[in-house]
Amino acid sequence: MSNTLKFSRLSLLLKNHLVEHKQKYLFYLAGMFFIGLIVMLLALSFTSYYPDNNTYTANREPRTTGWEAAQTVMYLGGLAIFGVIFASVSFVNFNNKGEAIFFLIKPASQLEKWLSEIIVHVFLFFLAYTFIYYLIDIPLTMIVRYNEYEVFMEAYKDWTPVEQRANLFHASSYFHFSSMKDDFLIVYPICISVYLSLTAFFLYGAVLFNRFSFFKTLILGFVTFIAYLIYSSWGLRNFEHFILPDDWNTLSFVKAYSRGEGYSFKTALGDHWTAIMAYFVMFIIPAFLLACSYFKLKEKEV
Amino acid sequence: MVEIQDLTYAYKKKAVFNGLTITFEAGNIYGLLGKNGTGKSTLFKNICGLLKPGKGEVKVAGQASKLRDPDMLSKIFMLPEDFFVPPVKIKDFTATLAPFYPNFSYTDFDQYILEFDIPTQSRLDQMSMGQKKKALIAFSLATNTELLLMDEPTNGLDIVSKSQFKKVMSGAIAANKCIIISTHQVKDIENLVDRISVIDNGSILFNASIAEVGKKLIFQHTLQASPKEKVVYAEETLTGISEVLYNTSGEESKVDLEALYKSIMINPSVINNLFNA
Repeated sequence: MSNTLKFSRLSLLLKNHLVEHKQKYLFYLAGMFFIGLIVMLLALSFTSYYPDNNTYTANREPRTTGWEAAQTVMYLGGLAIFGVIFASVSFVNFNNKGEAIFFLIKPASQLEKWLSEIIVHVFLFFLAYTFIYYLIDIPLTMIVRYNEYEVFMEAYKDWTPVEQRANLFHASSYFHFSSMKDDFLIVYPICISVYLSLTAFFLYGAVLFNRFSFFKTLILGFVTFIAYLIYSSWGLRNFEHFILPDDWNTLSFVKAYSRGEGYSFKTALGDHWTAIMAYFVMFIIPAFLLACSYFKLKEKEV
Repeated sequence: MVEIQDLTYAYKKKAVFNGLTITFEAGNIYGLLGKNGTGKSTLFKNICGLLKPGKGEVKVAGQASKLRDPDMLSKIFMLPEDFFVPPVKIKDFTATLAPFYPNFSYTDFDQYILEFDIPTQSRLDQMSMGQKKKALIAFSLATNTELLLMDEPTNGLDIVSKSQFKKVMSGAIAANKCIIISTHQVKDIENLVDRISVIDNGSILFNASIAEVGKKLIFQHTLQASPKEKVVYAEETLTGISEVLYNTSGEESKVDLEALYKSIMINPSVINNLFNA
């Protein structure tokens, strides 16, 4: 056990990693802050802070404002874009033999090295990104609120507390955004799943490719996406009759059909099973990609 | 310390080793010599587990190196030819990397830093090439690992630094340590190594102790050529003739590594007969 995973060694590795990459990460965070600030200022200039004409929905909840929508889109879009760039600089530059050797001969297990990269490039990045986002978002929202106080209070008088306008993790943000009130429990995990899948894919690219890993992973992702489109639009349509029963819903994984001689019946799984399987499918993709990056690192030669 | 048994390794289709077998023992400083592209660096990488053998086995302190076990890695330090230093000060470098090496000595490290005259306040990546290398040599010696691999350690060092290197290295050997230095600069490791191994065409061409070489060969610089039957290798130089002769007197002579290396490369069969008889 101690040769595979030892928490004292993992924490040493994390400390070592953060100290050695401190400069690079600080530059990255500063870049993220300034790019985020510019983009959000532009978004603020082009979007409306006012609710639309029908200020309230039927059940007296205020509708989503342009600024709210922009906040959500920018948060999630930024998380994906900055996340994949940051993931693609994970591990080391394997094209630099000295750097690669320095990394691989550090006395820690491959699992610990892999975990330290995941912790920094997925989880700590997520926290740092969210912190930077609010560092920009909260002051901007406060400025607008100050300027448009009366309109703001009128629009949101039934909705408290007012401060939660900037809280993207609060369910209410999604209640207003895209009218996904009933789907909140599935929408937020989907966003997390997409973020994890993208970063896991770029982490895998970082260990798979020695040079220009970001661009090569981008191309690989594009090719995979095109292949998936071809498969989903043409392959599945043409081959499903050979593989699946005629009335099989290819998008559903919650129903099971059994066809015997002259009769058929179907079994629908309960809603809770639907949710469990949806979660399973959502998180199996990033888990699979992360596992790929681990095994690739384990076999990595310099 | 290092057991290499029947090692076969190839880069894509280019074979580097085909059944190489050699052992490196603790308590010695080995000089690993060979032409460019003969696989010295590849051998080091196989020892560290950075490359995985096609066939055969490489063991360090009884553990298979290809597994890159942390316990095994804590017993090895490798200074590669294309080394890397992170953009940190020496203080931060040692504070976060030294704890991985259980026998790391901060006292030794400070001593080496002093002897190498390395500025401690500068960031490693902002130092000159020679200073970076000396800082890494100091660190590698202070780790007190059982196995220390140095690939061309004197490349990029000035004359004074090379002298410092020799001085520091000569004091670093201990009974439980094995140091392997791969180099083309044979003069830089003269009087430092106590065993010589020569790789050629993917196999060990020569492997003997300096003491054994001194007993079997005589190295001399003369103005008049010796009789042919006594000569293993001779080369005319600007100041006379450099000769390697059979040592028939039994007295140990001082080994000229450059002449020895040339003798091995030019007359491998003669040398083999002499040392494997």
